[in-house]
Amino acid sequence: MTGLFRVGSYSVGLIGLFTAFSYYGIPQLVPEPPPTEERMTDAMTTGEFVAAGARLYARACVLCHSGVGDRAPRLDAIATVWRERIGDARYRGSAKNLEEYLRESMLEPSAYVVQGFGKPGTGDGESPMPAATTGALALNPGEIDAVIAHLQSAAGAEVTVAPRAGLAAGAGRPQTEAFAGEKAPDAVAALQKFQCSACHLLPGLAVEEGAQLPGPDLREIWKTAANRVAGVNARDFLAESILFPNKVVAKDFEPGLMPEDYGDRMLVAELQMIVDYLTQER
Amino acid sequence: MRALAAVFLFVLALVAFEGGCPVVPAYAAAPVTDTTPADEPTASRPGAPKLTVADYPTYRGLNSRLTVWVAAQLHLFFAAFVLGVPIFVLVIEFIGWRNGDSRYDRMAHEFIKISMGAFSLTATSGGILVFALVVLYPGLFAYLTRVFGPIMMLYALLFLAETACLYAYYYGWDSMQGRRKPGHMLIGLALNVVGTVLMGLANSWATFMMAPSGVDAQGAFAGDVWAAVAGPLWTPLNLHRFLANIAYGGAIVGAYAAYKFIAAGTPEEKVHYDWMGHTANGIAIVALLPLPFAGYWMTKEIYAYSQQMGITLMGGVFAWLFIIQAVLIGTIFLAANFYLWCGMTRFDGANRTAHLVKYIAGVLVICFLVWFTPHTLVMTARELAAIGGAYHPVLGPLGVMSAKNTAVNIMILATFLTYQLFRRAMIRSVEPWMARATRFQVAVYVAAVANIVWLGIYGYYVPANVRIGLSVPQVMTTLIAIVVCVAIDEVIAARSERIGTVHWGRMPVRAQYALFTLAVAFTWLMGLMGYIRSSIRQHWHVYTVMRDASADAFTPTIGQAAAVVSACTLLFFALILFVFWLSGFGRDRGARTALAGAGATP
Repeated sequence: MTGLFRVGSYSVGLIGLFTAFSYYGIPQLVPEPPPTEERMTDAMTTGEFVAAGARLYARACVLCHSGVGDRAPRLDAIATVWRERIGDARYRGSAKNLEEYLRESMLEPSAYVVQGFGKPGTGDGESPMPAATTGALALNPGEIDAVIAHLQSAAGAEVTVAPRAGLAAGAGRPQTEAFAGEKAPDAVAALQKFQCSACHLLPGLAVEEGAQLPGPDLREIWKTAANRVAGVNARDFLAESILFPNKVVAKDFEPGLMPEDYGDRMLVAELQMIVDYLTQER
Repeated sequence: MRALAAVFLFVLALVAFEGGCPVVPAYAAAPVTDTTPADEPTASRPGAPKLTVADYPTYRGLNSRLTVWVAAQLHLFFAAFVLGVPIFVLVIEFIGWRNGDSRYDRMAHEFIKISMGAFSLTATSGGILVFALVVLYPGLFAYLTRVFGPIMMLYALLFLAETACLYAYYYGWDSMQGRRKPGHMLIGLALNVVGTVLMGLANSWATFMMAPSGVDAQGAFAGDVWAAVAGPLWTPLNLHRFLANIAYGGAIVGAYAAYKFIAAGTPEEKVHYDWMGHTANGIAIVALLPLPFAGYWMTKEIYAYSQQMGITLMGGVFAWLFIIQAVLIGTIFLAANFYLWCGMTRFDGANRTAHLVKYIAGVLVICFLVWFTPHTLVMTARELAAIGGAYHPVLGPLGVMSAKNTAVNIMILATFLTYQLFRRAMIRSVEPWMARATRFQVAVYVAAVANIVWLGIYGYYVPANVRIGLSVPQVMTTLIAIVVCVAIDEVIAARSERIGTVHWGRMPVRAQYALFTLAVAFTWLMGLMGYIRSSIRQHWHVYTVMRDASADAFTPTIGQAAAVVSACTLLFFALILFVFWLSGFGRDRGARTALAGAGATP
């Protein structure tokens, strides 16, 4: 029994070491929750529509189209390169403009495969990307439109798609509750609704003199927002900072303090109003 | 009679598999005049059910996912063990029979005795898993039954055959000696064939959930069971689990030998269990060496099936789990090598090669550190600023696959070199050509390492899809070097003279803890890799066709997953130590006395 006790104790100690390393040696990232379906309505503004597309893009596309690890081509210059691509001898599609090219790329990814990104052994003739309407992506037509709108907007091109009513739902995904609740009438009301001034100094909202707030001062964020992350404009930076607050954390401020569920609680229109308001020159 | 009954059952199972049993549902054979488009489910060909939270019953406050997770993992631990052990038991029995050495026969018998003890726990944990699935995930189980019903029936039948073969093999051991030995080994072969088929059938359910085949985009089953079984990941998973089961079986019986060595009361027992531990360590390492390559193949097929799944596996949040994997495999390599280095103290002539150990240890540690280095880190803005980019300026390049493949191949070569030194410690070259052959072996090592390193460096200058392909020539280089060196060693060993005496039992106790380290790390690693394989489906029961709508559909954090893996490992070790303890009531004293005083290498 002594031998059994010794090897048993040793095993428990070793298992404890592996567990401790997994807890304390590895960052405890919280994976994204299962996706919900974006509800598109024809009452959405273009800004709301683009923001919905940005959320879909972040959920379904960024894993590959991030520029990391040669996984898939970046899309930030798509507004200029699409013309070269449809003129390429390897192009097998029928797109005539950027919107058609983006839609075709999502529905028939092999119509044009950027050099070096094809399936191994196909000579860049076949794309490893599944059609965006199938498989784990399973975007519905309204969501595809929204992603196109986001990509056009992010690339600085004119947004040529608009939300349509009555589009089919996705593959069994529960619908998001994001649009529930009373919409704030203006940006200041929206900032108050989400109690932003509890942590930030904000334009148009008074705060007790000398208060020490846990979040950065945003009264003049319009001056610096465009320069915070290379290649990201001020509006996108602020929208992302609200939806994914830990992605970029301001110097001298603690990460993890700002709630990460604004994407679920905030109406698209409210997000747009807040972003418009904060990026306004004063 | 038991053996005959087992053979009869086995033949019956094979007949059923060949066509005696309806492996295709009746409706699949009926004439179909359905004009519905292929991707539209129909009443006769329903798609996968679309579940809601209400479709998941709860039972007495049990967490459903946790219950199924622990039951499945425990079952997999025991199943891997009881499927792996008979494979090398049969080989050891065959060697003993061919050489007329009864010590091999007795060791094989003792190995299978431990497996017998674990067999009932395998069946029990399997039963708990099935009941947990039926009660807690009825929607998923109903869908899987719709697709795999005939295979499940076949599985049950084969399990009976497996039981019969194992009982006949174990209880017939003593009575089927001498002229009846070939018949006994045939039963052992039947046991392994049935076991491997069982494993393949169960694997098909797991791979179907990862990469469904034989169903359309809506999950509607077309009726071809074979198409559902032979999905894109089935063969790679079969190979990976086959090799892993052998390695795992070796590691666990090694732990048994270590426990017995520590608890041994007489020098005879120490001799016996030292030899047993040495053999078990060898089995575990030999099966471990090709395992990374089977893993590469599996990963390659995952990428080929779905790049999104592949990137989720290697480039998303799961990427961090591979750092834990590196720590575990590094632990396994270091423990196995440490055991071998300690084992050199058994030889009088070991001091001729012992000085090389420190260099091998250095190489292993360096390679381990390279393998351990992460590449793409999820960092805060402050960390990004401190490092000066997404990658560490110095260590970043070591994190990519080129460096990691290079490191793991060199680790494998270094481990093999330890084995060679171990063998060389026992013999002395007597002819001049042997020295030349040894120098040629050194040249093979140097050339192999140079080629592996060159391919690794070349990988930095080519696109990712070419870089991934470079792992194949690197692996081939390693395998060719090992095969060439083994062939030369065999020729030299056959013509050399043995020096000194092998003192079995002259082994420090700390080496036995190395064997236990091997077993614990293997078990934890299996739990971790099982979690990764399963969870890359994310919020899908069956990837892309049947969504997990339960409250537990989220992916847990690494720490939470590690806690469950640890709990499963603890539970398994509590049960297997109980099995070890029970085996002490057996009747193998004859085996121990037979080895007493054995001087030559068994």
